[in-house]
Amino acid sequence: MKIGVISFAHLHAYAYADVVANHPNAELTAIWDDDATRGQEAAAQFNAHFYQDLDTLLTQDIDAVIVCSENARHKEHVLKAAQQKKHILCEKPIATEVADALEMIQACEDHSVTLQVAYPVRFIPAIRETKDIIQSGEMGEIIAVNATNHGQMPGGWFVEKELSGGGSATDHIVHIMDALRWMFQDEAKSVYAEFDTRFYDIAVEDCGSVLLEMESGMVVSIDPSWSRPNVYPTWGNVTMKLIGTEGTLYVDAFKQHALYYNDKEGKLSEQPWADDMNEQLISDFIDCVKTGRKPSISGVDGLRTLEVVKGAYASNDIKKPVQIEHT
Amino acid sequence: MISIGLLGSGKQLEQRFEAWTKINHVNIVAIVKSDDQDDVPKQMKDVKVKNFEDLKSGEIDLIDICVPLDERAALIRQAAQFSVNVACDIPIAQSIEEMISVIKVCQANDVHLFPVGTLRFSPVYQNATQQVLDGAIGQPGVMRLAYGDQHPGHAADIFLELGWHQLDWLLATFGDVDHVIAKQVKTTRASGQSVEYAVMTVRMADNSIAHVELSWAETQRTYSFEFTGDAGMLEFDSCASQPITIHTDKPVLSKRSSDATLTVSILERQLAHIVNGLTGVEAPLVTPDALLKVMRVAMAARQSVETGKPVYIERGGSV
Repeated sequence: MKIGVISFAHLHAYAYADVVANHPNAELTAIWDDDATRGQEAAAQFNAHFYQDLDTLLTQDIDAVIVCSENARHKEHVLKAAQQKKHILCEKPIATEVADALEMIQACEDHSVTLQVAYPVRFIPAIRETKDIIQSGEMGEIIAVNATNHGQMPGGWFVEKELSGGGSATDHIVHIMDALRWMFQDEAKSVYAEFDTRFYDIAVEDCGSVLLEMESGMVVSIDPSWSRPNVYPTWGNVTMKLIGTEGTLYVDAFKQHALYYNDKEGKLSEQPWADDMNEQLISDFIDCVKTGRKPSISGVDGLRTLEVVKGAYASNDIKKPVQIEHT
Repeated sequence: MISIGLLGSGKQLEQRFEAWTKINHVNIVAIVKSDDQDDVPKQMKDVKVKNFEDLKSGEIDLIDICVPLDERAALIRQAAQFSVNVACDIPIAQSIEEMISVIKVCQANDVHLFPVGTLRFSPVYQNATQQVLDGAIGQPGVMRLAYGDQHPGHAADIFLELGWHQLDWLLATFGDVDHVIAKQVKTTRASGQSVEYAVMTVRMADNSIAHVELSWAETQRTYSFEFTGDAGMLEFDSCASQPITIHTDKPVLSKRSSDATLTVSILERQLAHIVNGLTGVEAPLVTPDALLKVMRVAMAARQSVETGKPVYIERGGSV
């Protein structure tokens, strides 16, 4: 199966491209990037052809594309790819506006192509096992979740609202939200959020606290802050404390690491050794395209998490809880 | 020498007695029983057991009250009216009105009121306060605090009983609160045992954001914090900080809690502070205003659970 990559604006593109390039059932043949230098370098790195023109890439003999452009450009690129009947793996968040996400989902349906949203957290072994434990009933009924998706401040287009759609809330709420929807088959009912910019001199929020009430009555809090200091031993974290009637489960998704005390560079770093979530995500997408089955993470999954993000921003603006509207 | 009276019953009274015996410049002169049991634990049998009313004027300088929450306010008022200084477990009252009345009676009778149980004497929290005040994390951004324990087994207010410690320390270290929103869930285990959980988003007056988790769903006491600012981060987790872990052929691995491994216990540190407060060596660390501020935030959290909305804290209002 031949796969193309649309833009390396998001760093995850490199991890995904690497998996595709080494995959037994796939080939990375085509790359487009509006930054020609970046695109050409990536093409050289992954032994693929670089196309100056996206439309030219999309008329090549490729089966699928991976869209890793800036958040606000996902819509344009997904619509184009769908029109050319390419199956699509789209980096999260699906879009920066709910209307855009709806249009993208519709277009992919109209052109009968797969639209999968990249939520690799679902593929982290510790998260999968957590889901199994929850479903086994061992923890009883889960009444509350205290979750974090912290990160370092990524800079670049991530802090330009026109391109990213927002700061840390846009970047980090969706991973937890998607994992919880998947684990509990539950939707957010209402949200209250406080955001602010307190760590960096940037024009988007870099910290906050989100409180949600789910349809089931479960209470969820999410801390999506870019609050990891520069000396933090890794990029960030995904943690969840699940409070059940029969016990409490704490999962630290990236705990499978060794700590490296590096005198040569004067720093401490985590050396992860867990099964690679990106490899599982890409393999799942390839399998989905190959077999024609429904995507395991659909455009609607992307939409539902975007609705929560939008609700959170609205709540932060009016300082009141907001009911989540599901379109 | 400071003459101390202890008021209470059961295990808590014994624990308090034990701690007081380790404090210098103190004489335990009276035990005032808060129940009708005639038995006094054997280590206390040399101390006179009395009724409150039978205490002679000037016999004790301070009474240490360790009784359930609903009995505290009345006993504090009674002690203050006898012109006796008071130490009492926190929280010392169940409502803002009750708190104000207790403080007023103490002030009118010119007696000190020392809350016992505040995190301000816990070395890990003391160290964190110092780091924050020294600017270690820079401008505060997000403060995450969590405190958990087994459910007390009777109806109790989680915002007061568990939240007080967290809020008292939070306000003392990061300043006043602007508004708070809270969620709470109560249910039971299959065994019938109660489980309760609450979470608060607290917006401080300086606009930093605190996330406070209170859990009565744990099997043992756990506490953690993570404070982030524009210059750094400070984190602590009691579950990852035990200096000693023991592995035996028993199925459960045994751990000593990190704040139990201290030369001078946290309780003893507080009691020594009380003596220093009474002898003028130190100013009492927790002021009546601080008590009232914490009470206002705890009550606002409870109100927010009922309304589902953020509750803004009234400013001023010192007693």
